Order: sequence, then structure tokens, then C-alpha cells
Amino acid sequence: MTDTDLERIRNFLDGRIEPDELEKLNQLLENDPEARVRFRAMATLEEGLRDLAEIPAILPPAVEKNAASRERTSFSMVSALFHRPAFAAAAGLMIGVFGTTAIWAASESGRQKILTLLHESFEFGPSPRVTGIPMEPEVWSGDYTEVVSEYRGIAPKHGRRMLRILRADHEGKENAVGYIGDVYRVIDLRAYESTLAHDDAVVSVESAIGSVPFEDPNRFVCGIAVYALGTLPSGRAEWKALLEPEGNLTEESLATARRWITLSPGGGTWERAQLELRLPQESRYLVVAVHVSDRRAIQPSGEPPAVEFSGQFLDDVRVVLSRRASEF
Amino acid sequence: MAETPSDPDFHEPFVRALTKYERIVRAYIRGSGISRPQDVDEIMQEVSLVAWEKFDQLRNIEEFPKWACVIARYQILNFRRRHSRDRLVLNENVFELLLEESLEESSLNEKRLNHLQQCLAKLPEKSRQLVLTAYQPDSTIETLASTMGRKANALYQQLWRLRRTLELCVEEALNNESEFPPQRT
Repeated sequence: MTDTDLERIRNFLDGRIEPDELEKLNQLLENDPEARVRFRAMATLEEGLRDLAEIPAILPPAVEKNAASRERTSFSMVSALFHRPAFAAAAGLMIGVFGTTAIWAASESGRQKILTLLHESFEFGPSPRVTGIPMEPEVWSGDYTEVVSEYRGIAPKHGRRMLRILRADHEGKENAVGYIGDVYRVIDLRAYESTLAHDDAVVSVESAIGSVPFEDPNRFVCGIAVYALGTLPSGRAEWKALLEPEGNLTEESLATARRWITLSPGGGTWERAQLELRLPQESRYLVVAVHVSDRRAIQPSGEPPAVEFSGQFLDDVRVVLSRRASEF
Repeated sequence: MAETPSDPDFHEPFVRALTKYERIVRAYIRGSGISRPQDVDEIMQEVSLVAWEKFDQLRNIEEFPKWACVIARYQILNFRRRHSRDRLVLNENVFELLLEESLEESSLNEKRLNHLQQCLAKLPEKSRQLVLTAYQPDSTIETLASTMGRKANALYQQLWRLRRTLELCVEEALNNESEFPPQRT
């Protein structure tokens, strides 16, 4: 193939080809299988670049620093903001409404947004911090946990790893007792102000919860919660004031939703906890919390013992931001 | 699959598959001779709706990309019929050759798209941003050149060179992949 041939393909794909050049391109493609291969390769790259360009955060400079962070970024990059009609159709499904009419409505609008803020299955990146409280956005933190692969016959729900809740205390906890293991993730919403501005944004949070078998059917309960905040606490003391047992996170939040499920004693199967929260337009951060409680450790009076969990897991956590289809 | 499109449990696998494979279907549509991005959008929208209606017929989710490309094939043919008199459409023989041959390349295209992401990351920051800006929805060379205070033709030539660099990088990565298949660890 000559450079001129390549230029004709390029001009065609760019919509800049002249009619006489199109005729020459037709002849080339009809008679030269290699030219068709090249045409398809170039067309594929064109679509690939369009796809990447619609995901503004896909390649920040920091991503190049190491392979692990690159994997993590690209994995959560399904994450992106989609404006395309096909995704608009999908959005009509995802937020749950409900049938073909909603799909069409979404498709015609062509502007529905759906954004996966987080899809975490603990495959890459650092283990959660054991700081008890969230120290910064986009990092897991909380009580003692460990990232494990298969554990006592329990395989991860998604990928090859999952998070095991180990204990109900954390580094520096003055009195290492407790029966609720907590993990937190703060999500920064400031880049999505325009999505929130319509006051119709909804965040859905879901997580797979697994456990090894246990006997008492009421022993373990798992809770997920999401809190919408306008600002973040400025330091450790403020965080502690929000998150400690008598804390005021609920009162300080613009909106909140919580759900508890009792884990099945049979073990070996994954259960799914999920909830939705409509976000006030002033929301700038989300605090996602997952709790596992060993209720057998609850004492009628006095302090509970320092619980060590027998094998309770968290995996496939998804946080999705969308807008209500009913408000098209 | 026992569920039907009216079943809420039916939604997630479909959305997940569409999210994962849409770019492959789009590449197929473009590689079949549909040059204008907005035409690709239009066809893709039809494909997604037909795929949704027929999703209960798909037995293996791993086959979604090829299955969706077969759906796309019919939508492309319909589109072609509606637009056959347009000025800048490839002739019918070429069109059919591309359409048939493209169908065999969906897995190759997936690799190509994955390598493209890596190759883009290797570009210098300014070049990368230029490429991404040029491919933003509704962006044109002329408006971009005007914004940057440059001549449109010079900018077009620069983008041509950058795309050529990416193309070579992707082909090299594909060649390396075939010479050194990934090792199991």
C-alpha cells in the first residue's frame, strides 16, 4: 500500500474524501485484501479513540507510575461518564425502571448519564488502611481486614480476591474491644456537580457478603450504609466525632440510607446487600460504610470481648450514580 | 436464560455485557464501512435495542460480542439500503466484503483496543491530550484549531502523525503478543 492509499482510507474515515478519491478507494478495497485489513484496523482505532476520549479521566499522568494502579484505574473505568445512545438505553435499564418504554425514552433523550463511581473486588492496589476512620477519599480504611483469595472453601464472588473482615478494632484504638467490624470508603463527587445539579441523582450501593458456615442463624448481620456530605471532616478528631458509636454522622449528613441483612448460617453462598439514596444537589462526598456484626459477642452489660471474625467477606462492591429515568 | 426483559434480574447481565462489549460492536460497524461517527451511533442504538429484545435467546454471555455483531450486520445492511444514494458511501461489493470479513475479527479488535489504551498512555502528555480532545464528541479540527490559535491543516497533519504512531504501536504490540504468548504464573 502506498501513502496515498493510506491517506484515502484516512480521509474516508474522517469524512473528508472527495468523490473521485472515493472511487479510487473503492477499487483499492475491492481488489486488495490487505487494504481491507488495514482499513478495518484503522477504523477500529478510530472507534477506540472515540471511546477513550469520552472517558476523560482514563489516562491521568499518575496512572503510568505502576502497573497495579493502572490496572485498578482501567478496571474501575467502566466507571466513566457515558453520553452515547446505547448507554442511554442501558441506563434506562440500570436504574431500574422497567421495561421497553423506559429504554426508548432514555434513548431518545440521548443524554442520560450513568456513572460507576466504584467497582471494587480487591484485585489490585493496597490493602485497606487500619486507621479506623477514613483518612482520605478513594481509599478503603477501617478495622483490621486482609485481602485473601479462597479461604476455607469460600471462593471470591468476583475475580480472585476478596476482603476478609478480621477484627472489630483498628490500629491505635485505645481499648481493642468491639463486635462490629467496619470498613469505609469516601467517594469524591465534586467532579459531578453538573449531574447532581438537577436534584434527580440517585446513588446505588451494593456489595456481595460471604461467610464460612456457622451454627447460630442470628449470629452475623451485615450492614451497608451510604451518607451524603457537603464537606469532609477536617481531621481525625472530627471524623471520630462522626463515626464513633455515639457519633453524629447521620445528623451531619445531607441524606443517608442503611440496610442490614442477616447472614445465612449455611455459608458458602454469597448474599447481596444493596440500597439506593437520592442525593441532594449539595452533595459533594459519599461515605460508603460496610459493617459486619457478631451478635453473639454482645454482652447484656459491660464491654464486649475483642471479636475475631471466623471468616466473613466482602467482595464486588459497586457504587453507581445515575439520574432518575422518570425525570426525562 | 429463564428471565425475560420485563424481569429486573434480567437488566444487569445485559447492561454489563453491553458496557463491556459495546466498543467492539462499534469497531465492527465502523470497520464495515460506516464512516461517520454519528451513523455509528445511530446503528449502535438500533443494535442495543434489538439485542435487549432478543437477550433471552443468548445462551452464553461470552458470545455476546459476536452475537451483537451479527445483529449489527443486519442493522448495517438496513442503514446501507436507506443511504445507498448518499454521495460518500463505499460501493456495494466493497461493503459486503468488509461486512463479512469484519465479523471474523471481533477478538482481534478487542486486543487492538486494549493495546490502544496502553499505546495512548505512552504518548507525551501534550500529544495525548491533543488526541483525546480531538476525539471528544462534537469536536472538529476547525474549532479545535481555532481554540488553539493554529491552522487547521497543520493541526490535522499533526493528528495524522499521532494516529500513525498509535497505529504502529498497536501493531507492534499485537506482533509481540503473537511471538510471546502470555505465560501462566
